[in-house]
Amino acid sequence: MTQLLSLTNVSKSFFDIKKEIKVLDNITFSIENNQIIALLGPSGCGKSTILNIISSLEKPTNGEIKINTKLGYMFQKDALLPWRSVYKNICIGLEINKILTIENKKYVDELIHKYHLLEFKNSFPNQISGGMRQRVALIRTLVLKPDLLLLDEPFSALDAQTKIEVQNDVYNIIKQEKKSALIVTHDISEAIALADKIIILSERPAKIIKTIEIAINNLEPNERRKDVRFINYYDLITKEIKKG
Amino acid sequence: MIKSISDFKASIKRKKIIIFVIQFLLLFFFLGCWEILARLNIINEFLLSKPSSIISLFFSYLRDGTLFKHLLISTFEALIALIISTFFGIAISILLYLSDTVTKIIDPFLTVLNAIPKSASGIIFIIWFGTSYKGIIAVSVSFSIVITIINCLSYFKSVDKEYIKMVQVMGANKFQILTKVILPSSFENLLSLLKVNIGLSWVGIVVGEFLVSKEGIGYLILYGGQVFKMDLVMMGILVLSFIALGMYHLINLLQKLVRKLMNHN
Repeated sequence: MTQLLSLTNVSKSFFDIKKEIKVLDNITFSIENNQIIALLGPSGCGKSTILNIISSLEKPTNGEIKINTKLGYMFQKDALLPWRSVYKNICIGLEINKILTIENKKYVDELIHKYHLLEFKNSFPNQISGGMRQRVALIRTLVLKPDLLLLDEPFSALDAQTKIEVQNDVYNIIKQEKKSALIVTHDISEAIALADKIIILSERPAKIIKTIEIAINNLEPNERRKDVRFINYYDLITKEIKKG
Repeated sequence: MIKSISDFKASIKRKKIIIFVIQFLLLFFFLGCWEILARLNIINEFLLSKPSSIISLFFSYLRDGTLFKHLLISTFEALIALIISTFFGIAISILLYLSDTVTKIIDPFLTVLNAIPKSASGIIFIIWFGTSYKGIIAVSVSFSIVITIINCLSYFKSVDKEYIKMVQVMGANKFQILTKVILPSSFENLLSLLKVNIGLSWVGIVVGEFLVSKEGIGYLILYGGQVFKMDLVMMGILVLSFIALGMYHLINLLQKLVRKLMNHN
């Protein structure tokens, strides 16, 4: 198993003129190949700051980050550009990196075909459903061939029914493409349904309360929800959050 | 009663026709009253003119080519001013956008420049650029370029931050953010800016012609005022409004065309 990403004793404070706001306190964890890790914590605890630091949109105040791989991102909002067709939206990363080659275009077509977007290829984002839009956003990330996906509350903008479908979709896509993922979420059941390992964070400043390995990780999200152990994990995590 | 789609369409069409007819009647009634009151000497024709003399003056100016000559020069000036202020306004905004610090430094200066009464500062441009059409175009550009820059910058700033973050994490540089996100996303706003600028550049041209010129619609109006020929003043103003309306619709057409082209690509 190769380590794709590791954070060691990472802390982060924001400063304004009046005071220092501590957001992250001594965060240490790592992600290995083919692993899905969920960062579970209450809203506003600093989860997204961890992703921003990993993606070097922000610098940590203390600590060390090692990235040994190519990263890909998917956000809460799909951020599909409304003036571009589905196909053009998927290609934007390739355009920016000036690698819109014949080979990569073939890969785009392959992914579009594989994940059932062919008939919507020339549609515009406002013409497709929310779940579909999230799938397009994921494929837009995948065409850049990242090994580790960073997902920031990727399902929270979806309605309950669509959410479960898209979670299953995204899980299967990640596993099929043999990617790893770091999912940031405040939704306990989402974390259990998707992750191999859950890192529970406290309220701000975020510390790691506990790390829980999910033993039913050989199952798809839909199957996990039906498993009895799902409820057990749910109870366990709720208790840990209360204690923390 | 509306019972089907075709009924619904018909009712919308009927409403449209009724509104148009009422608008037309209202205009006709207004012009008719004006004409009759002037003929009956109830209102002073010397101060208010009357529709029939405005129309006959319009045709006599049209026939001997005077109107066309003045119209051509003014339209030419307005178009050039519109193109210069919109193009350079947007270009300067793009340069400013690329540097946050420069934008912050220049911000109060822009606000002050915009607050200067342009009809007063116009005289400076006439002295700098001469009394020919160049000076008039410069006056007109001074009317719209600063507000173009201010509006443009605020459009750029209002672009959805999620879009910018999305391309940033894909490795986009500032120039790519501009071309892939900021400009296409501000496109509609820039078109409405163009519409506002049509009005402003015409105001600028007329003020410029008031200040110096020997030709153009602004000159015709000023001349008409000086010799108390109200027919001429009224005609000049009417011609101006129709030209501005025409340009406005032209931009609307352009907008539709560009939108169609963008959606096809």
